[in-house]
Amino acid sequence: MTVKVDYENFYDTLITLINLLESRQIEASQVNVSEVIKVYASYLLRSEKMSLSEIAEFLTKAATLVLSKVRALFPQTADEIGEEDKEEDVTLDASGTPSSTSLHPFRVAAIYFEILSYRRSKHFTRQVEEVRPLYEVGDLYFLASLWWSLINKFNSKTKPSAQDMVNLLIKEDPEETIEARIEDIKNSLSRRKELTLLELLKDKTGKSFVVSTIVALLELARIGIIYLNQKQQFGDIYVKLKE
Amino acid sequence: MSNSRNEIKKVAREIEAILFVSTEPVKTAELANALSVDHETVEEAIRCIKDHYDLHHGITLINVAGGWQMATASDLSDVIENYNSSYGYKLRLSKAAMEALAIIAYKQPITRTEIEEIRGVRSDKVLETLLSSGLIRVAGRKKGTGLPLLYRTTQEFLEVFGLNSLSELPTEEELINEGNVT
Repeated sequence: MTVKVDYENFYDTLITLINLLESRQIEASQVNVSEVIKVYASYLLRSEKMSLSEIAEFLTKAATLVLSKVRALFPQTADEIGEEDKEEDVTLDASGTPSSTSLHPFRVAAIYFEILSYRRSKHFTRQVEEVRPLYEVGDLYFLASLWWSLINKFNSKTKPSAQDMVNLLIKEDPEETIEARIEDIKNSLSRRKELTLLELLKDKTGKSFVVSTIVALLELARIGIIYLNQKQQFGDIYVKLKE
Repeated sequence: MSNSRNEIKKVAREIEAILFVSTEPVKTAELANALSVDHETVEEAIRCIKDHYDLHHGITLINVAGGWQMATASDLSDVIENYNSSYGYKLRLSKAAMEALAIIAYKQPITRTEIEEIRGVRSDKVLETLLSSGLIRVAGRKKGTGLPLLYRTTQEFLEVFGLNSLSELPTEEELINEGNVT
């Protein structure tokens, strides 16, 4: 495999090179460190300005490169492997023999992720004060917070706003106010002794008309002018004038 | 639909205010909905803001996790680090964790056993690390013997790696054939 270290994306290429070397996908003996330094020198000359932290970063990477090269020249020993890298081989069944070819693309992807992470680390965003809670599988805190967020989401969709309530009771038409409806119902009852709610609503099914009619009926019942009677569950409501 | 320059300017100011207060990427659809304008207008306004920032300011707009977020310009990272070295997201993942994360990103939803079949080594420790860092999540159970847990990458994974969506990743074929990751 040939890795060309060029001026464009210099750092990305350097990270790739180090990763390939550490994962032993390229031969350590084939890495020409002096060539990398030469390219870096040209890169420095081309750059109009260079911060100290960038130079320090290069020195760290170059040191890692040299270290990786030295390490890769010797056989790897167990104690060199990091805590997380101390992974036991798994016993696989006949169909699941791992092969370097099936893992290869993901090793390349891991290097790509490292480059992405490096690029992203150059952008700083506004900090979140409240740290996101860490959770384990089946954590009750996580389940509870998820549950409450769902309830809030549902409530915000279904709960009428204060403005909706105001609009509902707003006096757009004097006939639809509660007082007007009380008079209206009284007049209707003076002609017929008994009426039903559906007859009172007639063909008007607007929210404010229905609400003002029901409130007017309750008020008339409270002051003892009418009886309200529902003969069956979910049936019509009968309105009867008191004797 | 052509939008007047004044309308774009007005929407751009409104978007700028929303992105200023937001600590997470804001989706184009959310902006369009909040400002009662169409997606086209939002996208044009974002282009205007981004061009203006990139030319004259120390901040820019980045397109991550399917949304837009205000961020400092990449060439000023050393300035921010000098000011306060605790700023920014410092991702410290071992090679093993990065490898497991790559497998999950490409093969999701995937079980631990399937990850181990590809890697050839036990991966429970790395999965714990990835879960606790919020880069992966449990996404249900696979039907079959033992109902093993399935893992997926999270929104935070996209944010941390500066990806807008998973479709931005190179395909497996590209990784195999090219080995070109720059």
